[in-house]
Amino acid sequence: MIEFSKIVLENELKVIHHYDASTPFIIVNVLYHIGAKDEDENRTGFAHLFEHLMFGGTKLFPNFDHPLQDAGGENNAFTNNDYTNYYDVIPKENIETALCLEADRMLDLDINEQSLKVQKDVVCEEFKEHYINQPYGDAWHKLRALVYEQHPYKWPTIGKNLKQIEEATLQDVRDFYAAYYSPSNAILVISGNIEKENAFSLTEKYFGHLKSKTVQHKAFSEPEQQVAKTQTTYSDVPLNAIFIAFKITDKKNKDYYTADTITDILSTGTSSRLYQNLIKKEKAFVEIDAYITGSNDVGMFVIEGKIAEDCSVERAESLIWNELEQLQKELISAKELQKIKNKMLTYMAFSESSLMNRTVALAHFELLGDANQINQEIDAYEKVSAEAIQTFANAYLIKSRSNTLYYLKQQ
Amino acid sequence: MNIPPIQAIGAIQFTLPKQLQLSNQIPVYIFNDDKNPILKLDIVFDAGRWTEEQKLAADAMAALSKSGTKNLSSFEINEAIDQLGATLKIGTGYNTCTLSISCLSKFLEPCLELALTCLTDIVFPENELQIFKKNTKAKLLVNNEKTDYLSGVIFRETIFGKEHPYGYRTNNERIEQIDRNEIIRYYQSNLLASNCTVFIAGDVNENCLNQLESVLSRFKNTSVNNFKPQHIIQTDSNLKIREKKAKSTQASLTMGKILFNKQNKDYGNFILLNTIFGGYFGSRLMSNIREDKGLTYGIYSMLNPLKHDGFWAIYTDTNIDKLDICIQEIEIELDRLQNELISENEIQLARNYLLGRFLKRTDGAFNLMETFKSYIIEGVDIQHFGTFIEDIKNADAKLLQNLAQKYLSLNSMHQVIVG
Repeated sequence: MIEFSKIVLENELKVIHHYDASTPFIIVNVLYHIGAKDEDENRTGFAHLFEHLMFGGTKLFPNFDHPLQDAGGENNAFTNNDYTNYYDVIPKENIETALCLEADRMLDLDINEQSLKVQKDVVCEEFKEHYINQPYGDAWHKLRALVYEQHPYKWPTIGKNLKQIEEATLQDVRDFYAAYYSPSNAILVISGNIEKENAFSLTEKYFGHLKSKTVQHKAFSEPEQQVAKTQTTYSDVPLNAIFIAFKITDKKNKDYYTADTITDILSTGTSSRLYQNLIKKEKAFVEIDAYITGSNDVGMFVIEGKIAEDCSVERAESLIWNELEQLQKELISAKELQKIKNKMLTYMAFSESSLMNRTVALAHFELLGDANQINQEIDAYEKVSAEAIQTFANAYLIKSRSNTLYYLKQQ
Repeated sequence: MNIPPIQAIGAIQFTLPKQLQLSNQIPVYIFNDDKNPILKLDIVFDAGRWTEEQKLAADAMAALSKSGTKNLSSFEINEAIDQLGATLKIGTGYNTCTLSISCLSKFLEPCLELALTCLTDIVFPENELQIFKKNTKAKLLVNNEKTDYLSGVIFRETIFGKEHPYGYRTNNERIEQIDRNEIIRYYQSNLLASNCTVFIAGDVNENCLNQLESVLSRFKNTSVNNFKPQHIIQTDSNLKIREKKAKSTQASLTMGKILFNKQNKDYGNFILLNTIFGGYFGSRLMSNIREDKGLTYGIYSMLNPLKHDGFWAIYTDTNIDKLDICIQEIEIELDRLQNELISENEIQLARNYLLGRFLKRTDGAFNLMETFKSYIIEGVDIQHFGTFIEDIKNADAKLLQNLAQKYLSLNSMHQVIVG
């Protein structure tokens, strides 16, 4: 049971406190409800570029990092399709430094031409390092575009291409900041070695005076898929690879936990089905994995594998389908289901032992509507039945809903 | 808004583990923390690449450490572990082989039984070895397409030599040569009760201690290993290596030299110097090359302490057309470190940041265990943890400049570029 308290300030900032006296640190985590899905299709990669600019300093703090480092802390941030999350881990003595820095950059960011120019270059280098200069690096660009027809999940957080990042202007940046960065669009979590009263009164001190803005969020839809889609791409890679993806539910639906359980049946642990059957027994793959994206809206269930040199793509693909058909036809045994649940319980126990994980999860669940869902997760996994797995496999993991990307080596 | 003043952080205390010895003399270090019903256990063997007679024998042994016994198939062993929700695996490093367990504490006993099986009964079936070889070659094909991977391995090969355990590369020929008998010989002569230390952290209750004794005391493998490895470092005299890779948009750079480990008296001060130079986001390399010039997504330097040596290196990836200017800026920063005194503000900033990182290493049983283990592996008394903190608190600009002059002169550096 993860205990926490929640208040909402007058300016609509949601604040969650979670106490852990066993650590000498406090984490200040600020989640903004702004992700790649809120971007204009011609300005993709912008939410992530903006995350970089949030470290550009303010009038009060010309450098964001220095005061935090000087206080013995460290900080970082990440952006995904749904939100942008900033966190500071700081020795408990210096909690006010972190709060002051975060409150200050919520509305007073000093955005200038020079810092935009540098961060555009940095992000372009990041794009090249992770998505161009890596074998299979652009696979997710292709896969998202294949899977989603309307939903902005069809582009990745880093952006569709370098050009759109290079074209970002100072005015775009200012408009974006004005539109989305506001106490009313943020969730603050303060966790670690600080008592509740102190956490809430310091929050009032540093964030209470910030002016709220009205933030508009677009609603997105994605049509049900009726027909299988495929795409083939050739690239300078050493092994053929295959990605098979299915659209599934959002994280709030109980089917999400069924989907996650199925990915564990398929590929978690060395006794998992794909590992044992497709790598060890059939020797068709050298690597294979199944996972879900955990998105707030329509997510993806993905199986991806690198195919052994002496196995044809057709054979590799049909072996994956055999495994999916197995899930559709046969109920998973009680023993195997218990194995998966034991894995999940252990995974959750280790994950929850980390203050950082608890902190980000509280923020994320609050974004989804209720931080207390963090305490329902184990129950949700426990409730997944063999029948639910079979029903899910028959409803979702079927040919007509599949999206297959063949990522092949150049002939 | 008023800027709150920065407070000094409290004393950094390294809580020492409880220590005991099993009846078969295996030392056990215990880091207790019963907040969560979980634990981590490492059985660390003084072995690794260092004690190989055939290259890659340690890697292959580790990868096949659940590959089957006379009575159990590979699947049965793996399934038994997964059934407990646990992870149990053997990994290798340059100087260690480590059997690691992560599990709910209530499942420790069956996990230990399985660990004992993996340490004593594995028969290394030939067909499992063939699958391992095939998949290792395939993964190597993918890695060989990555400039950062290549730059790192070529760099270590350059400074330590093609045959040295810290330097040798995985290649197809070596994978092909891995021999089943050699794996078995390595297994039987290195995974010894007389050659290991146990570290356990988390919810280690009285039951757990009894289970450790009752299961691991049956680990009797003590055959004497007569192999005394002699490894000679053969550093390439060529200071600059440039490997072209068609179609790559970026180049990966590794630049550095053999240096030292925690046994060296300069260690604590050098860590501070490295932090200022390239060890954190506020470092000179990051400030200049990323934050000022936008030449890279990341650039950092680090000291990698090993049991018998250590190496220090700068790592970055940059656009090929910006490579020259990037190297030029690195050289300017190396020069500055030797020719200019660092300001007190800059030292204080890095010092405070670094003290926060030392504090982090004492945060919870798992962090304490990882830190303590690294000291034991390198043969350094944990008391030095405090000594290094004192060094970091007391270092001044003159001392840091002397260190830079002693260790970081440009003409002592090897440079490897791939891309």
